[in-house]
Amino acid sequence: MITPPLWRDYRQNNRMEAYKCKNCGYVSYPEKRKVCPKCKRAPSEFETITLGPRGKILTYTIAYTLPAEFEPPIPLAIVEMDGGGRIYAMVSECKPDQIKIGMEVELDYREIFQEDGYHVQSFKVKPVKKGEEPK
Amino acid sequence: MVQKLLGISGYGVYIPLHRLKLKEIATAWKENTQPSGEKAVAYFDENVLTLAYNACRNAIKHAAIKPSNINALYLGTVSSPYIEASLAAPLANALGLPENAEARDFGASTRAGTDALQAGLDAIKSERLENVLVVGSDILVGAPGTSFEYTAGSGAAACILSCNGVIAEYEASFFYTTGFADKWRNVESRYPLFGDTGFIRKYGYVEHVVKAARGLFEKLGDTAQSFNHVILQQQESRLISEASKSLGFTPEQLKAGMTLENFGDTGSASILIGLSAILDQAEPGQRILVVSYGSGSSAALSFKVNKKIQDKRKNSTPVRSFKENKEYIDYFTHLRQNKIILRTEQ
Repeated sequence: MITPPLWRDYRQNNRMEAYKCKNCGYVSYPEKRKVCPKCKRAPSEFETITLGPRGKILTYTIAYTLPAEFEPPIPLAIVEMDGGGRIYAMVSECKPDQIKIGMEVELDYREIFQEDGYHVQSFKVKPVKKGEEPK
Repeated sequence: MVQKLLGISGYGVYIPLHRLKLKEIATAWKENTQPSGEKAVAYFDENVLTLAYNACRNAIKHAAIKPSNINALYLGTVSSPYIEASLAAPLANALGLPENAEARDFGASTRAGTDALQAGLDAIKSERLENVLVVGSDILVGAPGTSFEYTAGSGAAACILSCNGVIAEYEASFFYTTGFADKWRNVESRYPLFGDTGFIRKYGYVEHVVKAARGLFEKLGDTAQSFNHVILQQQESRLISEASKSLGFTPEQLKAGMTLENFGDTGSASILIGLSAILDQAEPGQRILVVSYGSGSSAALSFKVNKKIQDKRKNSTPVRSFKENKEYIDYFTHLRQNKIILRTEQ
């Protein structure tokens, strides 16, 4: 059943909402926490922020074996977002030899998978083209 | 009473990165002709909703409006993956529109983009809504080896309708409807079917576009020369030139809005993409005519460019940038990426 998780996490999946600790500035994504894992304040107050739209690749791997509906090889990366927060995302419109640690990427709304014919969208990242302004 | 200016206060386009050269299709099917031009094709992780999202984000940025101030989202498409399930509602949610926003889906013909546009203009004119986000998005796919395969393209375009910060004022519209049957797609089919080619050329697109445009000329006391820019439904170059010849338009009037050779037939998005390309370069005081066509009905709408257009240009992502930013793929990659052929699971 896909409906409950989609409904529960739509703010994180479709709007990139994250939660910033008002005490130390730590950005939690996708979990909405009560205790800050960095400053350990309990309970800590978190404000809702929107991640991105840009960030830098911290590290990555290349996936070669994927289900038939994907177009491998696809890079998967951990991205440090500008303004805080880290995400794990597929890298779209990027060939494996293009990807580099430290590369600037931006969030891009894409189809992630289908289940029972329902199309699920969320954010991937893609390389920033030179001279392009943030969305 | 001072009449409020109603029209477009911002627009945005999104075209997929990948292009397929038409001669690739001709070579694959061993055709004798080598057609020029190319069409935009979606990547494996793009769908009608993701294209629409990106176009909407560009429009919101261009209009410099907060998503929380948008009252409605009207989406037009003929290539929704669903028979039942809204695209407008999840799109409104993803864009951060308020929960009391109205979401409507328009479809069933390639007029869906201008249907949504007209509904948005009417809702604001009647003072029911203040700011409406209209988007047309399509990923058209032609059956392999058919002539529609050469034109079926992909793209999306959105605009914000409002009485504030208007860059192109809405003047009037005129419709011509007969219900002529020329193209249809059954529930169980992925590809559209067409009526007799010669017959539908004469009595379908051309007749409807010409009569809707002439009706608008009469309503406003205009002639073909009254308009600086014209965009006709980007369905097929031969149909566009036949209709424009019959109406007396010059190639110069059509030039700015032509996107068929770059992106292909983008269905419900084609008028909004062409209108955006015109607005990218239009000068204040110029007049624009748009005429859509789909399924035996045409809508003609006219706009007048406002001087505010120049102040907002810095926020726009021009259609030109999508014409230049592209990556070519081969025919087989396109067939695989768009799931026209599927790998057999072992």
